[in-house]
Amino acid sequence: MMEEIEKIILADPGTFFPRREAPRRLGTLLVKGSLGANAGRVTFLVFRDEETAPSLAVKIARAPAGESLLAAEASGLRFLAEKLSAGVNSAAPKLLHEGNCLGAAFIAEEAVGGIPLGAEMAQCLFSREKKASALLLEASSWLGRLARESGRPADGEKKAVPAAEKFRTRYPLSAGAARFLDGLKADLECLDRECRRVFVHGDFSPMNIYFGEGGLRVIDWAESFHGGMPLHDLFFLLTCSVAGAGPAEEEGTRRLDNFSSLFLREGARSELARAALKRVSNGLDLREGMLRPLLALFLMERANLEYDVLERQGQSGYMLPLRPFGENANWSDGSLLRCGLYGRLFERIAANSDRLIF
Amino acid sequence: MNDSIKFCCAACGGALEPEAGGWKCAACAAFWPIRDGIPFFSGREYYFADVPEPEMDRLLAETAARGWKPAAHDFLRRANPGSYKLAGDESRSDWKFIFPLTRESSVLDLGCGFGSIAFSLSRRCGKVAAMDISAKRLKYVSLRAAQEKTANIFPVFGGDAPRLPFPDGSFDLVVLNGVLEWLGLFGGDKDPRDVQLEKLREIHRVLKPGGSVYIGIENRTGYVYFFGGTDHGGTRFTTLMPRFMADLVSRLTGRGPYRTYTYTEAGYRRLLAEAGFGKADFYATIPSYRDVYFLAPLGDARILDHFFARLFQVPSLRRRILRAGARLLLKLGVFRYFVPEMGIAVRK
Repeated sequence: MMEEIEKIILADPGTFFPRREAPRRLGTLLVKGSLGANAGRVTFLVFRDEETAPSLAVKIARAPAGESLLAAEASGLRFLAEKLSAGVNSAAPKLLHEGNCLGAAFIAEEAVGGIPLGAEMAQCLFSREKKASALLLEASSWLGRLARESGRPADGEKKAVPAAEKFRTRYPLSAGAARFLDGLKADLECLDRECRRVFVHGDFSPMNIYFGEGGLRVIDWAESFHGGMPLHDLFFLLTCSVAGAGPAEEEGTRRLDNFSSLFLREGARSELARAALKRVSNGLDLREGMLRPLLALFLMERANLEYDVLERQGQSGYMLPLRPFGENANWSDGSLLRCGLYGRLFERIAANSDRLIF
Repeated sequence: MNDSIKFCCAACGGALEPEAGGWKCAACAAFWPIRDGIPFFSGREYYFADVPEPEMDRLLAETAARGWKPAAHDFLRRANPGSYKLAGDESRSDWKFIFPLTRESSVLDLGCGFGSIAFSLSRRCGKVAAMDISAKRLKYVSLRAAQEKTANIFPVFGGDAPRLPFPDGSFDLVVLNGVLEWLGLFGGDKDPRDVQLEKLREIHRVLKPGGSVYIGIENRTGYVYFFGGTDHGGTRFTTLMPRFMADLVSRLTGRGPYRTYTYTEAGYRRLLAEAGFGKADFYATIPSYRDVYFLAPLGDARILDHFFARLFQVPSLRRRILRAGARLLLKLGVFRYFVPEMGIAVRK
């Protein structure tokens, strides 16, 4: 199929390589999507002539479910390009083409150069932490600008309370976590009523944030959506900021520990979390009292999404629960679907509610 | 009997006529039975799998009793995590996007195993013949296809005989993922390379004009073998030896004759050219041809260097050394000789 897509590219190089000479030849590198939310598409990085970095990223829907992901990505990129300032949208790749080839949907967008934040963070074991922290704060500042520019007043749509109800039906909470959630009821209703809604990237992981000559770039907008709660992307970034830095068997445990180091007052990285929160919430009119329910809501929304993703994977025949949480669970009785990270993180904030940084 | 995949006699290539319980060749009178809806084009039974046979029996029983998904998630995932991924993760065949497949395409997955590649291809293609020499694995494919109502997968038993039971020009794509290196085991005393060549010529015959073959396989001089990695024969360093010496070592260590031949890129090119194939593209399959996350053209150093410089995660000292080594080999222009595994896309 890539050969057919290359013919489309070469037939109309002006669309794909604006302000450049037509290419003589193309080379491609296939990059498979992860098994999580991105399971629906495959990416080809396209190299032009003798260039050492790719010029294009061509994303192909793996199955019909992947077409909605491509549509969401295209819609998100169009929104950024058309509605937000250059200071914000210059971080996103330019959408160059939406099309169909041999019955499969595909989009082509500018390929982003630079080094992913995840690669910087993965090197923390050799004292790169200072640099990684600085880059994380830079990404937080950009998130703040995105939230301010895309923000709009609450429109009456209830998001927080339904998410909490769904979470409660799916996860068998401990007595303490159930009490903690009950105590948040009024705050969650307040979020629905008062909190400004923002445009959310939805997959703001360190592997999707690049730093290069052009500054910060953010890729993979397939999970983006309008009307999200503020701080969603920042909480996501913080909760997965050390992912991939150790053996896979330890990843779940490391992320739990990482969470504690960021969000508990005595945590080693709590100052970093505070600084990042300040950068994002600055100018968003967020009261201090909103931060805790926003974090709880983020965890519940992610837990619900994680459940959906695991269920989708389960239906496809292969699921990858975060190790080591799923060792003894079953798919048949639903326990394997609850073996993700975010339900556990919720339990952790419930158990440490008097030690949180906000 | 299904009429979506056309068959011919696996002994002589003659036309088949339906007879009670199977097909009979009009030319040589060979009879090919159909058991549980699966046509059998071989009289010999084998069991090759990453899953020990008792586990496979349990998997089949669980699949029949509870459905293939609960059996995979609740039994196979625990009993054999590696095979759970191989059996269920359809995205491991994402290399399919380099081929021009449509709903009209016919595909042969030769050595289909648990069928995850065949099922993945069935989402995009018209019909997929899933062929294997393990009746138990085909039974699994058959059960899964029936349970998920996938009507365009056709399990076929056979592949060990020199002739494939399909007429000329049947397929747009033939898949040999982790198969070519094993073919020598089915050739009796014949030179393993001749057995492989014979099968590749057969594959050439059953391909439509312009059709393609995808081969996932090891590189004979992959760097892992210099560090003591064992090959399919189960011994160290044998892939690096001349064949006669590898055979001697294999026999002396009690593993019998050495018949699981792999080659270098140049060796595969020669083999494929002798079988009649045309243009061949070689890719580095990273981390493995069994589960391709990255597919990078082996002849394009700038793309491979981009992969190692920008996309290859380096959270450990071992990975840093690997990355530095790979980039050095690229600079020296010899990376392609040491890549451990590769994917080969070749056209008729």
